[in-house]
Parts: sequence; structure tokens; C-alpha cells
Amino acid sequence: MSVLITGGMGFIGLHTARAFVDAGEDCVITYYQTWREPSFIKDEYGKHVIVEKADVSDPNVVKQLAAKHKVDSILHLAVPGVAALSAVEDYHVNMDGLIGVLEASRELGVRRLSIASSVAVYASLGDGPLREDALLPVTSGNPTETFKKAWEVLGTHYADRTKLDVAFLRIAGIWGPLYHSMMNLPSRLAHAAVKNAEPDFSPGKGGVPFAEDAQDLCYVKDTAQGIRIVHQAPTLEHRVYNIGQGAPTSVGQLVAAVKKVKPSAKLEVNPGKGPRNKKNNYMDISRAAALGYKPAFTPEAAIADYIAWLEAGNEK
Amino acid sequence: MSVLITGGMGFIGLHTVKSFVDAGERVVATYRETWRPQPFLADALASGQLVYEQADIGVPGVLVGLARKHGVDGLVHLAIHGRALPDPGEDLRINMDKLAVLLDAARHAGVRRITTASSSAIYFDAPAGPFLEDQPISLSTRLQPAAFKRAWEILSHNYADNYAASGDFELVTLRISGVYGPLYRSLFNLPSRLVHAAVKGEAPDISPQRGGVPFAGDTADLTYVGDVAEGIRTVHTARVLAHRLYNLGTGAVTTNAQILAAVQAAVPDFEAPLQEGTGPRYRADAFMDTARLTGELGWRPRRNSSEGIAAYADWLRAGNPF
Repeated sequence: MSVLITGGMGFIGLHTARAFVDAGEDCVITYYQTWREPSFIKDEYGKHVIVEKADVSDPNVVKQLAAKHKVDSILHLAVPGVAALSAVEDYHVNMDGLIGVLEASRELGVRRLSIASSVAVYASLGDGPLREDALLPVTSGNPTETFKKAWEVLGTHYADRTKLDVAFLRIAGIWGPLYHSMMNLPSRLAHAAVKNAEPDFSPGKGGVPFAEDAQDLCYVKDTAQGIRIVHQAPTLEHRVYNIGQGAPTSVGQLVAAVKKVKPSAKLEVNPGKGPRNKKNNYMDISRAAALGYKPAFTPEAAIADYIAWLEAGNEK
Repeated sequence: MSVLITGGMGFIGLHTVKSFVDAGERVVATYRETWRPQPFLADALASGQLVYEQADIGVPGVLVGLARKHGVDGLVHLAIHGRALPDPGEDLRINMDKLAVLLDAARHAGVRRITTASSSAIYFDAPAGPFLEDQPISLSTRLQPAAFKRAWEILSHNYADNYAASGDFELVTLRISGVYGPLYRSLFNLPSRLVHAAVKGEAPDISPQRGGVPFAGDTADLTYVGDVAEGIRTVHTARVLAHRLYNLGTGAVTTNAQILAAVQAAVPDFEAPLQEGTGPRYRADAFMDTARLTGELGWRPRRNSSEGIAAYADWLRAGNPF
């Protein structure tokens, strides 16, 4: 068995490739611009992990790669960088990419196509828990929410029409080794603690957080297992799966976890709840849990693991 | 003011062209294959107020070229592929890429507003109405028109935000109800089939492929095509719009019994069988709430079902084949 992972050299992609290799499945991973060779997987390059440079928005590329390496399934994680492209280019890269993986999967008759969606699709909802069958508005607050919703509508419709086995994975806020955009909070806290600096709480990153605000944040090693488990399941009852912690992690919890490892860390947050606080702001993961997915890292354990990684000299 | 109307030779397109022409606007309309000139547009064509261009607007550059050539400041996008294409990937690509084509054309030709047609099919899996523009929807649907309209709307809201923020242009979407009246060709909806049969003195097509014998209490939100055309023009030409999405329909249901009665009023002695009660797919209050459009822009349909069906029967009796 082997799987083609588009965007497999990205942050989540590399951890996911590791999870597949550990479970005995070979991977072909693609990258577009950025080469990464983290210590936890670089020894597998050219062995159980084949690397290909590819523009997956070219409709023929995915098909050619999948055929060349005789993979029996495809996992589509590739996305253009946030705000990297103009609006119309963003449309083409996102939508041509989606159509390309759908067509390649159908024409080659792969076992399953799994596609990364995001917790962002739930952004407009009020209190949680967030469930896969929630109805959602057509309006969106940002391009990620937009494209993931459009992908799901078109991808599930395509699956209905062609009988292709398609699974959408709504992935929570993910953090941990190799995370680079530094948008989510645990990454900024961990980086700041290791550098003994103050974390970036500038308005562009959401300002100073409130201790009791919480969301579904999932350590990337758990996320990778969740993706693998759904993707490898022999049969799926659903087309959409939440992959996250399945519980809210609060700002206060993260701060305490960092201070436990780095007591001198300079982390001052606001007390109480912020103006956009939501109750039960986490994803219900019972669909994925029924397939055997269970996050292994508590926030405390994950912070410790991440800080150890950074202190070992890894830049990100 | 001038407008480019895509799909201008289609059912709704022809009426929309007429509505803009009657309002004194300069119109450029595209059509892909079939030249279907209508006498009611002859004067405008002769005077040059209306120009038709044969074009496949899916080809990159075509639409922007036409918009520039004619110096239009608005786009009304009504062109659709009538049926699902057999290749599912091609179907998806051809339908969705029109959005990028429209955006490119608007951006490069200095268009101020794009008005696009969506449909009440968006609401087809909502258990009951009335249907509101802001209500949430399921992201998963087997129905091709609903899937494509949903994805199209999701994406276009994103661009509406993007381009509205930059002040380039605005993009407004109309969810259009079931439509009947002159020039309707597929004869899928009931008023069309009954009126055609009545005027020709034939038995109506109520075969299983058309859904079988209709239930008297089943309902639809059905709007006369001339009213739809005026609704489209009203939104497109409004100076300011408070929203980007409007339901366009009658704001009420019409029962099959009412439709039959209206046809019988127009063509006495016509008979068609109806079953008592409601069918398995009946939904309560299955109509689009049109308070947004009516309240903001004052549009409302001018014809009720009796008047619309009477006008339709007159049209067919005058010798028009559709």
C-alpha cells in the first residue's frame, strides 16, 4: 500500500507521512516551493518516503504522479499560502487543485481520496460542540472558510455522482514542530518561552488573549494519527470527519503548561473571558473516535514535547 | 448606462433583455449556439439599442473582450449549461470557472456591478419554509444544481467581499424561484405543461418521468417570467444595494389546484387529473421570503398565477410554439 500526499512536505504533511510510514504504508509527498527535511523523517526520503516537486493545481500532475508511483490512495493536503495570491489566482489554485485530485482519483480508481477541510467552516456558529452535520451559511469570513466549504460541497457531490470514496477531514487548530505561520497561540507561547522573550500579542495576531477563552487545538502528532486512521479505515460511514482534540483548550491552560516547563516565561494574559468567547468551542470527534482515533497528547504533554523539540535546536 | 447580459437567448435571458430594452438601456447580449430572434426585440435590434454577440464566454478572454468592446458598466450573468455534462470533472470545471471569467471581465473592463442568477434549488433540502436568504445550508447534496449553486454562492461571497473592499465592483446574487411563461422550453414545471396542453387541446403530460399525476395540495413558488425579468433589472439597476443576496419569487406558494383552476379560467373545458391531498415530498410553506427585495427595492410580481397563466395562454394562442 502507498499513498500520494499532496502538500506532504508541509507542516501537517510531514507529520502525516511519518504516521503512515510508522503504520507500514509508503508515501509519495509533494512540495511546490519549500524543501523541508526535519530530523524525524529525513532518513526515510528515497526509501519509504518519495519526494516529488509538483504544482498540483495543474490538473494532469496529480494523475501522472499517482500513476507513476502506483499509489492506491490520495490524500490532498496542499493549499496555497494564506494571502500569497490574488483573489482570482487563489480561485484557480484552490479549485483547479480540487478538480485535479478528484479527476485523478476517479480515473485511476484509487481506494480513497481524503481531503483536508478545516474547523474554519464552523467559524460562523455560536456555542459548540461543533458537529459534522451542522448547517452552515453560504457567507464566510475569510478565504480558508470559503474554499473549504466550496470544496466540501463540490467534492461530496462528485463522490455521490461517481461513487468515488471521498472523505473530508475538518482539521482543528494545529500546532507543534514545523508550524511556521505563528498564527495560533500555543506555537507563539512555546516559541516565546524558549527564546525567553515576550510572545507576540500584537493586534494582527488577535491581541492579548483572555485566560478563559478556549478552542479546539490539536497537537500535530495527534492530528497526523487522526488523518491516517480515517484515511486507512476499510470503510467509512460518513463523508466528513472532525479531526481535533475533541475538547476545548483554554488560554489559561496553555499558559500554565508553558510555565510548568519554563517557570520564568513572561506570559501575561487577560483574566476572564474575551468578547468573542464561545461555550463548548470544540469539535465533536465521535465519528473519528469510532474508527479508533484518540488524541494521545494532553495540552501539558504536548507543550512539553514541543518545547523540548525547540530547545533541541530546531528553528520551528 | 449599458449592460452585458450572458445567456441572452435563453428563456429568462430573452425576457431580461426585453426588460432592459423597454427601460431604455443599451444592451449587449451573448448567446452560445442558437439564434432565436423574437419579434418583441426586433425594433431594438434594428436601432442598435440591442446587439447580440455569439460567444462561448467560458473561453478565457472572450467576456472581457466583449465588455471592453462595448464599454458596458454592468454584467448580468444568466448563462448556464442546461444539463449536467456527462463528464463529472468537466461539468464541475465548466460551471465553476465561469465565476473566475466574470471576475476577470469585471476587473479588467471597469464593470461596476455583476448580477448573477442562483436558484431556489439552494433550499431544496430544508424541511419547511419560508426560506430566508441568511439561513444556513448543508454542505453536502446529491442534487447537481443545488451543489453548483451552493459552491458558486460560497465562492462569490468571498469575491464580493474582496472586490467590494477594494471598491472595484460589487457582485450580487439572486435566488430565483421556479419560473414559467412564454419561451419556456423544457416544459418541466406544471403550469407550462398544462397551458401547452390546454391551448393545443391535448391531454397533459403527467407521465411518471414528469412526476406522475400531481397532488392537488402540492405547492411550488412559481413566478411569471416577465416579473422575474423585471426583478433582475430592478436589482441590477438599483443605485445602492444593502445586501449581496436576494430571493426573487412570489413570496407565496401556488397549489397545483390553483394552477389547474387558472388554466381552466384561461381555456374553459380543459381537464387534467389531480390526486387528492399532498404528495410524499410536500413541505409546509415551501416558498422564499421576499421581504428583503420587496422592502428594500419595492419590487413585487405584477401578475398572480391567474394573470400569469392567462398571459401565457394568450402568447401560445397567438401561434408561438413555446
